[in-house]
This record gives sequence, C-alpha cells and structure tokens, in this order.
Amino acid sequence: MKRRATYSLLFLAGFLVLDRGLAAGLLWALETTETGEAAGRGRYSIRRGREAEVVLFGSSRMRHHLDPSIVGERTGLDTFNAGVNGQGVVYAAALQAAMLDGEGSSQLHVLNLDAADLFDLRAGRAHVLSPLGLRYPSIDEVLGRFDRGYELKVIASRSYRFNSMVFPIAANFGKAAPSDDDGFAPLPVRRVPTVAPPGDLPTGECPQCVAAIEDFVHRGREHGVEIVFVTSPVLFPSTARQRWAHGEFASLSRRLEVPWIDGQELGDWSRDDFSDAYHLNENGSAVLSTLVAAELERLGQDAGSK
Amino acid sequence: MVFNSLEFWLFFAAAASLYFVLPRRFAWVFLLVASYVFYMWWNAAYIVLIAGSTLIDFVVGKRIHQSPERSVKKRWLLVSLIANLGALFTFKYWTFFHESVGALVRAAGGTYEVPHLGLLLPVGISFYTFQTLSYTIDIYRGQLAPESNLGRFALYVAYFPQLVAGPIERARTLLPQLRAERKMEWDRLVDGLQLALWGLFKKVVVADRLAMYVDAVYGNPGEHNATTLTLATYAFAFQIYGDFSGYSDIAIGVSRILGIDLMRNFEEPYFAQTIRDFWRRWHISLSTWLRDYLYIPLGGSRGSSLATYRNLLITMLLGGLWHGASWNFVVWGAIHGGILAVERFAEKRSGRQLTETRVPRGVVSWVRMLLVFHVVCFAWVFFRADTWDAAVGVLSGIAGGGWGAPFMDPLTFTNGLGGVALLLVVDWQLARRRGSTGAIEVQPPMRARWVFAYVLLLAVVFAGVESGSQFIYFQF
Repeated sequence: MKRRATYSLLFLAGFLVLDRGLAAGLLWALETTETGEAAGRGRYSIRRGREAEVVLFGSSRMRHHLDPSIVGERTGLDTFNAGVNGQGVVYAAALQAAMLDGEGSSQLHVLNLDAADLFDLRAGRAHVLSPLGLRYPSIDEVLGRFDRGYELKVIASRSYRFNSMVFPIAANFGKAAPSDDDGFAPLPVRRVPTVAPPGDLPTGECPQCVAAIEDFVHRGREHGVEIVFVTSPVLFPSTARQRWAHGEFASLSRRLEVPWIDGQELGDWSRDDFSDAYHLNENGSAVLSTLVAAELERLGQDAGSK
Repeated sequence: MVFNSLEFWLFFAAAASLYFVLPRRFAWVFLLVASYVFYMWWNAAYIVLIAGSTLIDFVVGKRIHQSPERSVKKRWLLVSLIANLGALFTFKYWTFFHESVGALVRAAGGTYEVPHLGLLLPVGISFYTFQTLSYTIDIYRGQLAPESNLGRFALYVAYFPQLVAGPIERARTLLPQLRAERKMEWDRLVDGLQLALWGLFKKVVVADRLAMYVDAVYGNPGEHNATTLTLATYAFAFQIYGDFSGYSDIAIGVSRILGIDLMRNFEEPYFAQTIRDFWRRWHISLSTWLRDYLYIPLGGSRGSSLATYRNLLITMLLGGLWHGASWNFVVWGAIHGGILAVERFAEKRSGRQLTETRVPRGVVSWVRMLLVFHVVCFAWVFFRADTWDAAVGVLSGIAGGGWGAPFMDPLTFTNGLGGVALLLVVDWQLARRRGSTGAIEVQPPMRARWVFAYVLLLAVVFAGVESGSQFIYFQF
C-alpha cells in the first residue's frame, strides 16, 4: 500500500514538474512574439490597445472591415483594430479587460456585433488568450465566467493554457509586429457567391451571449470608456437570421443605452463591395470605414454638445 | 454528459468513490441510480423508454423460462421483439420509412404526405435495444437463466459506461459480474485509468482534430479537388476509428475501475487483411451480435454457397441500417456484405482460406492490408456523406482527378497527423502483443507505461480539441 501511494505521488509530482516546466517555457516563447492570431497577436493587441484612444473589437468582420487610419483621420484620435478572425464577444471582453487593467489612453471602444454573437458564445476560441491570464488576471476572470470549468482546468494543468498553441507559438517565435501594424487587414476583390448561405433562425437561446456583451459594456463604462456597437453589412441581409439579429441589436442598443451604427443601413451596398457573403473587400471596407468614421464623429459631437 | 467532458469525470469520480464506500449490498443499487442519472442528464423523459424496455424484457424473460411449451416461449419472445424493435422503429426509422414509401408513391405518380412524429432520437437506443434483445433470445434458446432481481436486470440494461454506445454486452457475461461483490483494486484502477486516457487521446487529439478537416471538406465536396477529397476520406477513416474506439476504451477503462470487465470492441482494424478479418476487429460486440442473432439464424454458412452469400448480404444490409435511418448506411452495409460474399467465393474457388495475421507479414500481406483499407475507406464515403448526392459528389470528385495542392489547415495537419502516427504505432505494438485469445499477453515495463501516460496526458492537454463534442456513435 505504501509503495503504491509513493508511486502515485511520484507520478503526480512528475506530471506537475513537466506541466509547470513546459508552461513556463512556452510562456517565455510566447513573450518573444507579437504575431499570429493563436500566438502573439493577443499580446500585441493589449500593448497597442492601451496606447490607442479608439479600439475596434470584434471578429474577422472587424479585422477586415474598419480601417483605423480612416477612422483616426476623421475623429482625430489614435485608433487600433483589435479584431481577430473567428472570435466572438468573449475574446473581445477578455482583451478589453486586459487593456483596462493598466494605464491606458482608451476613450472609445467600438464593438462589432454579428448575428452569431447572439447565439454562439465561442468562449472556447477565446482560449488563445489564456496564457496571458498568467500576466493579466482579468483575462482569467472573464474566461472563467464564460468558459465552464475553466478555473478548475487551469489549476489542474498550467500547460492547458497553451492548448492548440504550441505550433503557432513555434512558428511565430521571436517575431515582432511591424511598427505600422494597426490591425487592419483588407480583403482582396474576388468573385462572390450568388446563393445565400444558410440563414435559419438559431434553435436555442444563449443568455451567456448577451451576458458577454453586457460585460463588455459595463467594464468599459466603469473605466470611463464610451462604448459603441457596429454591425457590418452582409451580402444577403434578408435571411430570417439577419432580420432577427437586426431586431435584437436594436433592442440591445436601447436597453443598454449604447449607440448602434448599423452598417447595412449606412450605405448602398452591392455585390462589388463584397469578398464573400459576410466580408467586404478592400473597396467595400474603405466605404464602410468612411461612413462609420463619420458616424463616430457625429456621435462625438453629439456627446460634446450635451 | 459525454466522456470527453469535465462533468463526466467529476460525475465518475464521485460515483466511483461512493460505489466503493457504500456497503457492498447497496453498491449495485447505487450503480443503477448513477446510470439513470447519467442517462437523464441528456434527456430525463427518455428514461421511461429504458425503464419500459427493462420491465418488458424482465417479465418476458421469466415467462419464456417458465413456459414448458415451445410455442408459448415463442409467443413471449415475439412480445419482446415487437416491443423493442417497435420502439426502435418508431424513434429511429419512422421518418425514413415514410419518406422512402413517399418517394416510391411519388415516382408512381401518386401523392404521399410523410407523417412526422417530431420525436427526438433517444441516445443509445440501438445499443440497449440489441443488448436487452440478446437477453430474451438467450433465455429462449436455453442458454441463459433469467435474472431474478429486477433492479440488477435494470442495471444490466442501463449500466452507464456502456449504455449509450456499447460495447453491446451479453447478459451471460455482464449479469454475473453485476451480482458479484466488488472492492477497489489498485491494478484495476491503474489499468482502467490508462485505458481511459488512451481512449481520451483517441477522441480529443485524433478524432476531434480530424473532424474539423473532414467536416469542412464533406460539408462542401463540390468546392474541393480530388487530393483534398481523398485526404478527407482517409482522415474520416481515422476520425471514426479514434472516435468510436476511443469511446469504447473509456467505457472499458472506467468499468474496469468499477471492477466490471467489458468485452473488447476493437482490435487494430486497419491491419486487417480481409474484410472478414476487418469485421473481427471492428465493433466486435456488434459483429458478434449480428453473427449470433441474425447470420446464424438465417442459416449462416450451413446451406448452399448462394444461401451463404445471401445471408452475408442480408446481415450486413441490416447491420448498415442499424447504424442509421438512411440509404447511405444501407449502401455502406451492402458494400461490406458484397465483399464478404466475394471473399467467400474466392476461398471456395481456390480451395484455401485467405490467411490473416495480426500484423501484415510479407509483401502480399501488406498489399492486401492496403487494399482492404482502401475498400473500407471507399465504403466510409457513404457512411460519412450526409446525403446520397454528397457521397456521389465526393466519389466523382475523386474519380474526376484534379490532383492539385490540397486544402490544408496547418494545425489540423500537424496535430492530427501526429495523433494518427502515435495511434498506428500503438496499434502495431498491441497487435504484436496479442495472444491467440486476443488478450494482450506481454505488458510493457512500468517505466515505459509511465512515459506513455505522460505523453498521452501532455498530448491531451496541448493538442486535444476541447469542444466537448458528441461521439459519432451516440446518434446510432
């Protein structure tokens, strides 16, 4: 019995050493890079986002759509695009929490909302920020709130924070972000589909999805940062899902008293503006950036006049 | 509550601890309660189905045993068959049946409205239906005495490690184990945890990673070239193997910890050198069930050659349909049944049996293994594709050529391929270590087992896909 207990303890101790050691090595490697969406991008976004006065949060429909240079020129404020492909509001909330953890210049946080943000939490995807939770506890706080069992898992294994990140970290090792990287990545002009992708109504409710949006809004306000919602245009706006989402965004904007810039309504969009059913090409994004910048300027003037 | 979720492991830790702490005479009662809770976690209402099936077969089993006349026994067996297969038909095949009839009627120029019941397919219905049917059939055949305790029989039907996706256990092996008193055993704990960890690795590192690639390609077969479609089909072969054998290993592992041995469900299937050999290694609990309760009653290989081929084909067609209510599964079964018949024909013609070894030895053996693997992959296309058109789309895409650069996500490639490589190396080692009974005869030294456990743990932590996704076979 004693021998078995010793073996068990030895095995666990061995795992603990391996786990902690590998996590420490990976954290060191991660801190050499500022590139790669599943590697150093988060670090760069936090550093750059703290410097910026306007930060744009969201998914690929933020990263590829809003040009910070156009927004910055119109508003006169230093702007950074922190959008990341495939991410949802939980990622934005965790990133925002880390940015607001320390000294920063943030005045305005613009959150892009997609229909998917109302029914698909995508908390697991925000796990790419988990290693940074070792540096910014507020990231763990957000992930713990929306990713079930997160706290228990990161206690059981520190390496778990680097799940699916080993190869991306290795591939981006030692790479710094270019000095002019403002986070914007326009998409090329290409042929777009003629048939609308599936756009049925979501089957279940997602109270956590709304909670994540509220979390983003409340945290920003607590730190004196103005919040604005933006929704980007889609090629097929009349699907049941898009119409439903439009109504939900309107009601969310009213309830939370957050201004909402509806990109679909702003412009007269055609197929020539899109790269696929959900993403604008470089021409479309330039138009949207100009229109949204004007709206942000107007909102700023309205707020100033009050 | 799936095996690859935190909930399950917390549930299991609590259940196993209480199971060993409680007085022996209450242990099985607790296991029954835990099994029902496990099932109700998914859908509480559908526990009624399991309870109903349990009650009917418990009573039917007793009646069959007590009836002196063969005709009365047969009537009672019919009650069990109608009740169980009736429930299976209603929940699983109703829509498929009516849609097929409707297609025929419409083809003949008529109109037919499919009556939709709006029922959700109960998880594991195909598994527990077959398990409980084997109980009444075995009693009918005089091979088994009925269980006298309703609670223990209920546990046999609902035993949580194998309730939703097998292995499909026979009453004569599982019931005696449920009657025996258990105590915590160190070796069982270590073996069980190791097997469960191996299963978890196969599920979250291999299957779920490959699933991302397979889903992306099979979701849009028309968008991809032949190289990508072929790679996705290979990937699915390992996805489904990792998924289902992973589930089985976790089931067997956790059950071993509880002191109950479940049957092996997989024995390195992709080293098979004939399709018959494949079915001795793949989903063994189903293939032996089909052999004992369908193929042999149909006449097996006792009649003429033609009758044997027919029996093989019928068995595999129904085996295919067991997997799902779709013509794709029927075609999948037909391909396997047809090739089993062809193999039988070739053996008869040549007058000698096709040789099968645990691992390929020699060039001919390797060639045959690769050939069998590709036949299995061809059949998997029908199994995986959502519709008949999608299956045809994949196959015509591959046949049409266009062998350009494949669509490839680097993370899937590195993690998924690494997982498959480890899976094959371990399978190779397991196959070499199996004795004539299929049991592993030579255990690796403890130091190697420790290193292996660390590798698996770290692989799950670093490369596991944490989606909490369902196991593919849950839908069957």
